[in-house]
Amino acid sequence: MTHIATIIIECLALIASNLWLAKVDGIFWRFTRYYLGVVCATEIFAFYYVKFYHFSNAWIYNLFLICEVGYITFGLYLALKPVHPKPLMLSTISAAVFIVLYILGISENFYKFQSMAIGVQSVIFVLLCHTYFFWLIKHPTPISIKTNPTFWWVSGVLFYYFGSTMYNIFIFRLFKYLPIENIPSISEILVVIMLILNVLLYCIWSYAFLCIYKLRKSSLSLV
Amino acid sequence: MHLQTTEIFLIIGLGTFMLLLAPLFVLRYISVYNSFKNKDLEEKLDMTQNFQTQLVQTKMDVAEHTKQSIAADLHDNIGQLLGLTALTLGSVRLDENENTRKKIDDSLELLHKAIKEVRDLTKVVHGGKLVEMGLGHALQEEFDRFKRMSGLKVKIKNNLIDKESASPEKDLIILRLLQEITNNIIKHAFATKIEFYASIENESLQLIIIENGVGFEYQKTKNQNKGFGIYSIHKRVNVLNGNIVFRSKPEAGTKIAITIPYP
Repeated sequence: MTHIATIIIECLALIASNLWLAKVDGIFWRFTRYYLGVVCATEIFAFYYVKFYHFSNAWIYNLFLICEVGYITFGLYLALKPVHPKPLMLSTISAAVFIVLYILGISENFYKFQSMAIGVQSVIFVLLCHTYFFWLIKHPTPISIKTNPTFWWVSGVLFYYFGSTMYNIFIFRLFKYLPIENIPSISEILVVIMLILNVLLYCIWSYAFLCIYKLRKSSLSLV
Repeated sequence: MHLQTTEIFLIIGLGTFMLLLAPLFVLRYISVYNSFKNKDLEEKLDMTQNFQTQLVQTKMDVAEHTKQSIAADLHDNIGQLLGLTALTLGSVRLDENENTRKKIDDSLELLHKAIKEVRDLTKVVHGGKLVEMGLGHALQEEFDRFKRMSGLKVKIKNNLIDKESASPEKDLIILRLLQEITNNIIKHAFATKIEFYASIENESLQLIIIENGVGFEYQKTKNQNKGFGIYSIHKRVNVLNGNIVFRSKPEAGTKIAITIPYP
């Protein structure tokens, strides 16, 4: 049920992006629409893969991780660009750490979910989000927070990856210390937490898309 | 030690809740900080606009005041001299050689005086040209003009002679300020002795004017809104972010001390 709810939330975000970002120029927002398409496709495919083949779908999510980390790193690079003096360096370090951990992980076992790589990457994303906010505060020009799409996009990323820290710690380290009889119920709460985080992420991102749509509309009305 | 399922639920739930609260606080902090930054920027913008408005207003006041000053000079000095010249020339009789020469000499002298007055007046009108040479030079010209015109005993100590012009707009307002003060002294003070001191210390211009005239009750004059001159002087000093102090008592002369950030 929670899986279906997650798929519904992701599909709604895809609809929102196609509705509000359809005619928006800018490579990143166009890329966002494709990314959300990939998210929905992956989630649906992974859901039915387990249902029909009864195998672990971790390898599907392992492949999807490349898209996710690539997209978020690219977005954070573009967000940092106007406020930070070395955005490329930070993004390159972030990508390099992921590539190393990912290759190490999949060379060991491709069919096991790369929780180590995404766990470390979540911490890096949280640090990059805080770097963005810190430089945003330091920047002499104030922004209109209510209508700034970049601010809300980064906020969504921060909520999702900061909130998923507990999830990552359990998945990566504490799961193996749990008594066997507890594992199904603990898994259920972790899935619920992921659902809540997904709801938060896609609601905040949808608001960012709405900000872009409104900005575009108001700029058109000025022409 | 094995944890109960409910305990693990609590740890995960509370942990995630706390981790979600942290970004919330971060966003709240940024929002508050950003609104302060916005307010600060708006205040700065307001101050700049206010300064520009006051500058324009002062320029208009200065232009109006200069016109009045020209009219008064034309009427009181040049008009009188030319009138006297016309009278002298009108009384010339060609058959009285000795007398005629004296009258023509007198007329020539009056005409030279009139020409000098016109030159002085030109300098007053072209304040912009005066300040091109530097504030010290412009102030010196004004002190000298005052000395010539007023016929008072004048003491001048000007330490700004070698200073180059820092800001022509600011210099012009300072010059007009001095002209306003000297005009008021001529009109109302009935002084016999006047002292001018001009210097720069710690990036602030000090202008001190001391005269031994009839004096006035500063606060009373200011409160009764009698003196447009005082109002205008204060306004110009405020535009320059400066400070002015009047020390005066009836029959005890007046001391005016002006401090203006400079350059």
